[in-house]
Formats: sequence, structure tokens, C-alpha cells
Amino acid sequence: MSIYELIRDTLQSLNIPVSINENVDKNAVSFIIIIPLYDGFDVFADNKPGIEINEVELAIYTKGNYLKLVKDITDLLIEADFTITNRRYIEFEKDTKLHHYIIDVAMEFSY
Amino acid sequence: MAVVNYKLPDEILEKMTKLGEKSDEVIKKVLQEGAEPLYDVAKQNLKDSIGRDTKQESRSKGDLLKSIRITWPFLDRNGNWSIKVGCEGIDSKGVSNALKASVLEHGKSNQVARPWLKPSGSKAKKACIEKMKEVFEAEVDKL
Repeated sequence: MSIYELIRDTLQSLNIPVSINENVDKNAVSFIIIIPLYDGFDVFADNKPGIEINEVELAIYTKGNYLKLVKDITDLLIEADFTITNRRYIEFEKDTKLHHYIIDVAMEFSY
Repeated sequence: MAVVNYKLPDEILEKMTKLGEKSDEVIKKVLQEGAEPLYDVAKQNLKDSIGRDTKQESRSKGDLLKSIRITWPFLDRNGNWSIKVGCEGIDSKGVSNALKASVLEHGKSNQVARPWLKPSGSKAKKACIEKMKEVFEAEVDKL
């Protein structure tokens, strides 16, 4: 299972559109876009990689109370064993009235 | 009962004393040279991100790419030496380069994100550590 499927499954209970590309329902009160950041190999043996590290950014857009939503998402991600490498409020978009918050997550997979 | 005493050679003791005295100087040099692999990767990634897959033809004048810098080493609020790579100053239209770099990195609800800085950190991490080790060993040998 890829990191994208894992994130989608993890956040399914929130009933928020989650998409890897921009084809997400932007009229929704909240939506999440997954942005790929880095895919790398680590821990080599016999000239072969043993672990693959995937890092992605979750761009969370919401018109509501972003604090509760971010806490719920963070709790679910931690529960699912994701490593959270960064969490930051980016801005309030005046034109769309959306709060923009990012959570960077990483996950190791056996290769 | 037998008693064993260990004595370090004078040369090593002298070097350790000198390293203690010159630690700030050595750390600054290690950070400055260690940041170079990150700077190279970040600059290349930024170049690739500017104007990529834009809806309209890119009107980039190259101000953002020129603004990328390695800062001077500085002491952070915890008393640790640090160094940063990022965009500084304003462009020819008076817009903050750091703001443009941030929008490029994180995108907006109606603008696709084109991350360049965070992937650079992950990609250059090993090269930076190796470079810092190399410079540190060279500096210690000079003592």
C-alpha cells in the first residue's frame, strides 16, 4: 500500500475530500491536498536498499475552525504511526476565506 | 592490587585544548562549507520549480533565483550555532522574495504547490553531513 492510500484510509473517518492532485472539491468547507515532497532509499545491504522513505505535505484548507480539524488530523496520523516532521499555519486566504495549514508527514516502508 | 594509569599523548591534549579555544571559529567554517551542498540542490530545485506547468506562460525575470543565499552562521535562542539557506530581499517590483518562495513551496487553494526547499533538505542531508565531517577533520588536523 502506498503512502497516499494509507493517508486516505487514515483520514476517511473525517469525511473530508482528500486528493493527491488539484481535482478536489474546492467548494467543500474543508479539503486536503497531498503534495509529494521526497522519495528516497535508506539502509543499504548487499548494494540494495532496505527501506524506502516517503515524505508528503498535507495542505489543509478549511473555512471553519482549523484548530480542531488540525488536532483531529494529527491524532489520526499519530495513531496510524506516521512521523510528523512539520506543522505550520501558512495564511488566511482573504479571497477564498480559507485557512491554509500544512502538516508534513513521513513514512518508512520495507523495500 | 595492580594500579594502571593512562596518559594521553601531549600532542592530543594540546590539540584538544586548541580545539576548545577555537571551537566557534571551527564550527562557523564547518557550517558555511557544510551548507554548500544544500545551497546547490536548493538552487537547482528552485530553478526547476519556477514557471513549471503554469497556466499562462511564465514571466519570471530571474529575481527570485538570484535572491537565494546562505546566511552567515548565527547563534540561535538555544545557544546553538545555525545556518540557513533561503531567499532574501525584494524583487524589481518591490515584492518580498521570501513571500514568493513560500507561495511556490506551499501553493494556494487555487495555485499548485511546487515544493523546492523541503525536498532539497531531504536530498542534500547526507551530502551536507559528509561535507561537514570532511571540513571538521581538516580543521582539526590544522590545529
